[in-house]
Amino acid sequence: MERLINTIAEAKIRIIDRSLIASAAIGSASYLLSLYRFFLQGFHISFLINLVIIITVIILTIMRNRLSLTFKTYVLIALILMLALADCINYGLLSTARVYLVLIPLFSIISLSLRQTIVIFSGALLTFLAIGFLHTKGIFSMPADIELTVYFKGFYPWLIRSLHYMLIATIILLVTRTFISTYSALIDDLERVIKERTDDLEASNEELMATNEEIFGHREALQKALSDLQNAQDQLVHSEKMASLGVLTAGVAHEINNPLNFINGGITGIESYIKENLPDHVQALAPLVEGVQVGVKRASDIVSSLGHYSREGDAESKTFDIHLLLDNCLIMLQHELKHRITIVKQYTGNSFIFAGREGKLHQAFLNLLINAVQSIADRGTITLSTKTNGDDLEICIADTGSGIDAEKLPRITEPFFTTREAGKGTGLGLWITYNIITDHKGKLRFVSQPGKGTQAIVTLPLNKKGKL
Amino acid sequence: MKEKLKLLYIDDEPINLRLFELNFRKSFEVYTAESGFQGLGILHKTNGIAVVVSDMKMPGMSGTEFVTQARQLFPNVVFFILTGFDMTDEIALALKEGHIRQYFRKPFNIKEMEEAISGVL
Repeated sequence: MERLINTIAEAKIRIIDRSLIASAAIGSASYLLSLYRFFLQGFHISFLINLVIIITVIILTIMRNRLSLTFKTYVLIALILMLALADCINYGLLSTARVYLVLIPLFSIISLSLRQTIVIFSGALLTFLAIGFLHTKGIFSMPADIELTVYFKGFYPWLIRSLHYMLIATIILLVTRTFISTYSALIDDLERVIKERTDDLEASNEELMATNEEIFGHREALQKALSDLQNAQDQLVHSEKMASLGVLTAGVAHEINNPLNFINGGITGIESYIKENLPDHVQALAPLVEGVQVGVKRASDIVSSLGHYSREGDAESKTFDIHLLLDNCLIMLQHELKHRITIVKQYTGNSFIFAGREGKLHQAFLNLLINAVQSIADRGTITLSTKTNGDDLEICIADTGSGIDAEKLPRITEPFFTTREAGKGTGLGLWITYNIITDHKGKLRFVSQPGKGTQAIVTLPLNKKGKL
Repeated sequence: MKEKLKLLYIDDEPINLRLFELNFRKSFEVYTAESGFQGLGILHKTNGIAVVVSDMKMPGMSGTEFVTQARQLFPNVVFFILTGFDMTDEIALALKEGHIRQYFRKPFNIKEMEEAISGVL
């Protein structure tokens, strides 16, 4: 901005200085030409005035570098006024220098305000009119010795006017050209500055975008890490819970078995006592005895299945093909599936031989399949698929059944958790399944959409013992 | 009528002992003990005990600990375990090494046990 002001100020100085040079040159020429009249008509006061003016212009031109712009402008305006008005006073309508009046606003506007310019020019015009008025009243008059017919017939008036016009035209040209070139230079300058700034802005914008992307990447990574952590924590909490439940149920199982033994021993004794001593009552008491026996049996079965998964000798461990095992489970369920459920098998091409407790794993997969079958109310499909995933074999049992509500899903492997009505299920199936699979270093998870179906996904490690 | 098989039953719960005796006295001559130590004493005092059925979890001496000791002193006796537990590593080991013939789970099934014990003869 400062540079801009300086450039304009320099342009103004350049205009005034060049105008001075042009005035000095063309003015001197005009003056020399007017001397022709001096020889023709003799001395007139105007020659003196013009001489003073032209000398002042020459002095200003020489000293232009040491004078201020405002001073030079004022002096220039004063000289123009003096030249034009004196000429008007002396020659009236014959005055040729009056044309210089048009230069007054041009110079004035360069270093003065518009208001000052208007005041000065109005003053000049009023003075011009006053001089004209005084001429009409005869107070001023043209030199008496001018022969008008001779003057108008001569070439001199044309020549002197052409010089005046030349000077004015030169000055107007100077002013306009200087301003135009200054402004276009300034505009070029500005354009360059704007382009530089825009480039800078674009560069920093790009940098910002890159940083932004980086930050976004970090954020995504952090979010992923956070959700991974949360998942890990959930899994940890879940497996801790299952382990505690395991310890708890094993303890409970043992403690319940003793009183069950009392009841069982008691009823067995009572039964044989009745048979021996009260044969008439056997029939009447049989349902009561049977009730107790069935109750003990059922309680004993539940307690038994609570700990069923665990601590069976490693002696049972053998090798088996996982696909054959799944097929065996299907054969066992054939009756349930018939005419109702379509089985789709998507087994991986290879056969996978596992070492483990085949019977237990059979029970686990059978449980999962039974759950899938029972979730399908009418007709549906169960898809059995196996695939390798890194070091694991993934076995997926997907049904098109009723699905499990999101809030129930995390609890379905807990012991005694059941969605069936009382008496229809113990809620131990998935608990046992879960324990069998974790005993084999595997994982069991469920994905479910209520109304659409459930996927039970079993992951068994291939690299531990299994893969052949 | 031949002589009944002599059987020793060890359990820390007196009710279990009484009920066992009541249910098996028809088939066997039942002796009872509330601990492994007591059981060893009865084995010393009584001639001809052919079968011992022991609980697993007892104060002082566990079922398998008792069996291991008793077998050294009475190598001709056949040992069984009757327990509220599922198979444990201890029981699995005792089975594998032949210290015990079989293990039964509480609540006992009288038929199953009678058959197994009778098979000893």
